[in-house]
Amino acid sequence: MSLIKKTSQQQSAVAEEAPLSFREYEQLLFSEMVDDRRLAVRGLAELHDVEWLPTMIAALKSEKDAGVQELIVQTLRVRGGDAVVDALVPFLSSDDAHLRNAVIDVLQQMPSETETHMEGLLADDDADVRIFAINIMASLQSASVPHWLETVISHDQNLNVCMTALDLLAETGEKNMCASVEGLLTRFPDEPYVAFSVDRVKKRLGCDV
Amino acid sequence: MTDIKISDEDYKKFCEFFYRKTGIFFDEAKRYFVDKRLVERVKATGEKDFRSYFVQVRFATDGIELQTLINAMTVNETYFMREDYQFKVLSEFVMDEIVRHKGGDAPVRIWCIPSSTGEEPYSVGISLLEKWPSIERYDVEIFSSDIDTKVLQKARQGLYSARSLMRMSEEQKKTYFKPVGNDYQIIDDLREAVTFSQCNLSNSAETKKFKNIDVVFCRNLLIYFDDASRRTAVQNLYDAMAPGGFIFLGHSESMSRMSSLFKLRKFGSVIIYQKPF
Amino acid sequence: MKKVMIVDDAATVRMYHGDILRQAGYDVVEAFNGVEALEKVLANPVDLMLVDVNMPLMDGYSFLREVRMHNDTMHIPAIMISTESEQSDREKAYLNGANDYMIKPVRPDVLLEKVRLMIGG
Repeated sequence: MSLIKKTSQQQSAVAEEAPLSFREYEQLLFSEMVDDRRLAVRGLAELHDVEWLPTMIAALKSEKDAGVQELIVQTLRVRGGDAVVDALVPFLSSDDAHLRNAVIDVLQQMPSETETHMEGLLADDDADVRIFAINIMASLQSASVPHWLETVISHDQNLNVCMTALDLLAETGEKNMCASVEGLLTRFPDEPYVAFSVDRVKKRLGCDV
Repeated sequence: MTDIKISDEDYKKFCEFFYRKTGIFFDEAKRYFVDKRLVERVKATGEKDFRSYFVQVRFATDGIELQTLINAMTVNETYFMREDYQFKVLSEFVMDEIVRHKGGDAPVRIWCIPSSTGEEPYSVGISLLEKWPSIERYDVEIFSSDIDTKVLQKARQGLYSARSLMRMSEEQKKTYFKPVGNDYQIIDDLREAVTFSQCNLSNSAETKKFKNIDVVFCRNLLIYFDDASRRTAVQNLYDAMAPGGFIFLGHSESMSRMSSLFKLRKFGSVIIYQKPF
Repeated sequence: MKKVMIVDDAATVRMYHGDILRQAGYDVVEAFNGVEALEKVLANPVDLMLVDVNMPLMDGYSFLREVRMHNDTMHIPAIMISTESEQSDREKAYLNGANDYMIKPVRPDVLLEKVRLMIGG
């Protein structure tokens, strides 16, 4: 048989790389080769340099490879902290869907740092950003989530934003929100989708029908 | 303890949540099974009813109760040739594609993680010997890793009960095992052909020694990770794999809750994932 | 029975579109995002796909690009259903492989008319 025996292998699979300096990794971070950039992201994460965060964010802005984008945001998540979340939040307005998704995903994994941005995001001019904020809320542990959602369905002018909030209320809402849910029928009259959604959530929350 | 009841609306709410998190969807037909498991967990956690339990599952920061629940909702049993349609795809399509692409004499590298007690890496070896004719011409390395050193020790020993061999024919038992009392031990040639090692898949310092892996079997592991560890694990697998390498997940696991980095490939009726070139 | 796949991360949307289609006699499959939709449609091809734009991990545009690259699924018609009404989004949908474009929320009669036009039933 040609399944290789233990003695002949192992070493061949091991590839130890000598660590480089911050400047060397920084150069690799903007290399043409995806493998170099991945190596740089991982290498830089171990150096704890003060320029680390701005360097990673600069790389994220120009990065087009989906795998490297994900590696950067995941590496940022591991480091964590308010500064990381502050730097990531603006990417919610990016036109690059994959990058945006990677950022939403990682913000969901940093609930306590992200919470402080929630009210600002819910007041963003761009309806898509408000929808992404609600998407992020699906993973937040904050006790404020139901309250935020209720505020959205009571005041946001955009129907699709309200419906996204209502969808999450089906999971997190309480019976005392029935009036706000019902209020959507007045705010968006003659919309079959609104009527359907309100009906579904009322049943879910145990509202009087 | 009062009787715990799960209302129709609560059942739907749970199923929607569980589907969003795992990709596993329970319909009305699974109601009895799901209810029973849920009631067990409500009681085990000391919550007063389903609603307060659901709040705990959904809002607990550590995600541990969700992982316990996934464990309760899925079957995790290991035996030889489990989900053998995947081994069939490996021998019929995947191996040939890999050697065609690699060219030269470089060995094909296969990594099974988690190793558990070794049934899977040995099954890979046996299926290649039996079903992939080109094994005569190419070298294959099989690595197998687990975080748990106790199961690795058992895997290296290769001693199994008759139950583990329930999917093996008499012929296979004779060829690849030797009887030890009531049990069966895998033959030395196979034992020596698999390299076992300890490795935590969500720690890149431990996974970085794996490079240019052509085939990964990572079945029934990632579904039990929390979201953050799962993302890290996928990045680590991605770096360990050769361009064009393939990854097999367990049948109840879906890449749709993990990553969009891998391409989908369909071989016969089986869908597996491939790292882009 | 003609089969329609609804791809959307919002459970309410999947149910709303699902009810409309089921009541009109269509069989319905659901998927939460682009990756799950690809897994499902490659395993079992459908007659038509209703595809949301913004979804976790893989959005509707990337999904359509992927689906058009597989022999088994490249010709399945797709209606993109977006929250955006701008002309540029409509064009982007067509460029990525959509056959038609609708704006959320959709009205049941309009949806059914489009579906019938595309696949009959």
